[in-house]
Amino acid sequence: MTFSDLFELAFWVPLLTASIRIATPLILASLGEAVAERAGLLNVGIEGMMALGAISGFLVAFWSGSSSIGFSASILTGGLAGLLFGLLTVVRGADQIVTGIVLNILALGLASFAYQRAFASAKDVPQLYLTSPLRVPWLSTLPVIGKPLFAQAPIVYLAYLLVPLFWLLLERSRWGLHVRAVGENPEAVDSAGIDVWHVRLQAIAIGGAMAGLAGATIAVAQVGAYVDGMIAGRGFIVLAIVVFGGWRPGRVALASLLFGAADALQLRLQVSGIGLPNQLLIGLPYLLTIVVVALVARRAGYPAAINRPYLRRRGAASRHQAVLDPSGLFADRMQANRPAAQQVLAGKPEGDEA
Amino acid sequence: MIALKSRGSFRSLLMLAGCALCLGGSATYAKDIKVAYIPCGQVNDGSWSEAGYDGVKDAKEALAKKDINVTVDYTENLSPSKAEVAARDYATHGYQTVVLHCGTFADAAYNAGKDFPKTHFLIVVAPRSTGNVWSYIPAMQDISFVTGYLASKMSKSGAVGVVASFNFSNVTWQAEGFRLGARYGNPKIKTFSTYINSFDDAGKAKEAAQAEIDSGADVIYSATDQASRGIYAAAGAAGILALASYSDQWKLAPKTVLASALANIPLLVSNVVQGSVQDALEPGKVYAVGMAGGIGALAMNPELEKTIPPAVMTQVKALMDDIRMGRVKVPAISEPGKFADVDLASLKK
Repeated sequence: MTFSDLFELAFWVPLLTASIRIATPLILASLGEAVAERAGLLNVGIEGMMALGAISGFLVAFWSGSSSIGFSASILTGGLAGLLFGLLTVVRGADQIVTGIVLNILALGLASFAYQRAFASAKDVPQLYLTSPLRVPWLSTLPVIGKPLFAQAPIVYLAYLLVPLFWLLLERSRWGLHVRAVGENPEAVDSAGIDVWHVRLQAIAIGGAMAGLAGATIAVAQVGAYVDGMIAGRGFIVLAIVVFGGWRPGRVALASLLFGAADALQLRLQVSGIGLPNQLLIGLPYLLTIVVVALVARRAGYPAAINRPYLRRRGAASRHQAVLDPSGLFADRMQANRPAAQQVLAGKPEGDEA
Repeated sequence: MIALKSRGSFRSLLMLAGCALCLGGSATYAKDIKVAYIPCGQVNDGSWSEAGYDGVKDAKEALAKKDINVTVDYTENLSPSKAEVAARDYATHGYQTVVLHCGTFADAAYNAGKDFPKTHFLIVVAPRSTGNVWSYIPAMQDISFVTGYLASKMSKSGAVGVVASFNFSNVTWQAEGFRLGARYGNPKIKTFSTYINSFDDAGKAKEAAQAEIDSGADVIYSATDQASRGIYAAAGAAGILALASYSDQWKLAPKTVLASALANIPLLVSNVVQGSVQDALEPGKVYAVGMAGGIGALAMNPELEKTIPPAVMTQVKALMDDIRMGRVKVPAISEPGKFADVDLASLKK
């Protein structure tokens, strides 16, 4: 390839195809993370949850011979890991950053351990057969965009469907309203008779499940193998993408696509032998992430209640206080929540409409 | 080269020992020496860290035959800073040789080396040897040159590529060696190289290979570790050939991996450890060992080997002999793309 090829269709069509492939796991994970963060939960453990999704999806797909069963297992594993994060941060009120880091270490170790236990010797080489791309009739024959958009692995089409679904769920449904409200003002939600813990646990279970599915996408649909460390920091990229996408499903998907495009482009620029140092090219997607996050940082408003545990449940406070806080250490904090809880939820809580 | 050297110096050592025997009249001569091994990962990882450990054990056996009793201890899975602590600890406890078998431990070796001048520190893939610190490097550009040559002969499209981990030291030698070898086999061939900055990111490796395939490459050489699974996935889907590195990997993708470029790490480690224990290493010398020293061999996929034309196989074997005997010299190129500036005629001696 030479420089002039950069202006050929033969360069752009594969580039777009690769962008969508690279973006798919990022889209899946960031949709889930957007929901969790909207509910006030910053899931730093997303990297580990993706690794758990990769290993469980891979193992189950390998043993069952079906990638769909593998994907289902990864959703389940991710969801359970999300609930564990929720149990620690929502129910026990642990710090989300610390919990996330600890869960990352635990999950990455568990994934590696599970693989070693499943395949006794490092010389065993379990491998999945990768299915060829599924061509959507008619649409895949469209000029330019046909192949990139509609001749992809089936999981890509699932990602297409989930973007509007998450938008409806988060921005247009009653449940989405609850999620956004517990992320902004849990006291108000509580006094309106909605169980803050339930909503937050649901949100983080979805966040974990999507992270699991994202991890399995790489292991089951893209590589067909599990390798320790294969998530390779994508979870942390997702955290940046969610900020860049302003916690809105549509924009988060576009941000994922931008990152995917940057990565696909830098790989192709390396192949083109363009005179730029390859360290710069390799770093391009990450530089882009830093730049966009720096640009949006000032106007980026994290959900107000992020990393703020809500330790009192309406009507259940006394019942749970003994479980939650047997030593009475948090009594002050629980008391402090009370006046705020008197505020009545007036109309719709503030929420960004897409 | 190094094997000969250490054997030679051992012979002189034996003579010395023999003299000591006649002079002292002692019935037995045994020397107890402690060697510590600090790899990146675990000694049973089936890969890099295990290969180094095998080398240390080989050295122990070889030295035992020479009445040098070696005790080997190891510490696994350390960060570079912890590795330095461990290296110093071993030195304090009287270990004669400390082997740091991880590319990120170079500073640990140099720092500990300054404070413990009596201990020998062996560090893999480091830029220099100083005083009591020796760098040993599998100079993979030799065998990579051979894989590049083979790739150029197997390519129908006239384009081949390499997907490498880091643009660093001997990995770059590998990628550039491959590209130079491909040019040597077919001066008109197009070659691509892509660095992914990871040993494990199989997803990115697959995309990197795909980018090369999209540009016409029909043989792809992997110069990365576990991430190579992604390269084989891309090559398999495209129905093209791949070449592996470091260990025999045809079983990972029997219809795709044509051959594997072996590093023979155990031999390299065994030789430097034996040299170190016997005080036979030259101060300041970097032990970058290529095919002349037995580092670098080709393991063929028994099925796909049949698809290689016999004439090509003969040429490949002849080229390997030429490199082993020093008739063809493969330069170590540390900057991506510089292979193109090498005058092909200058390689032949």
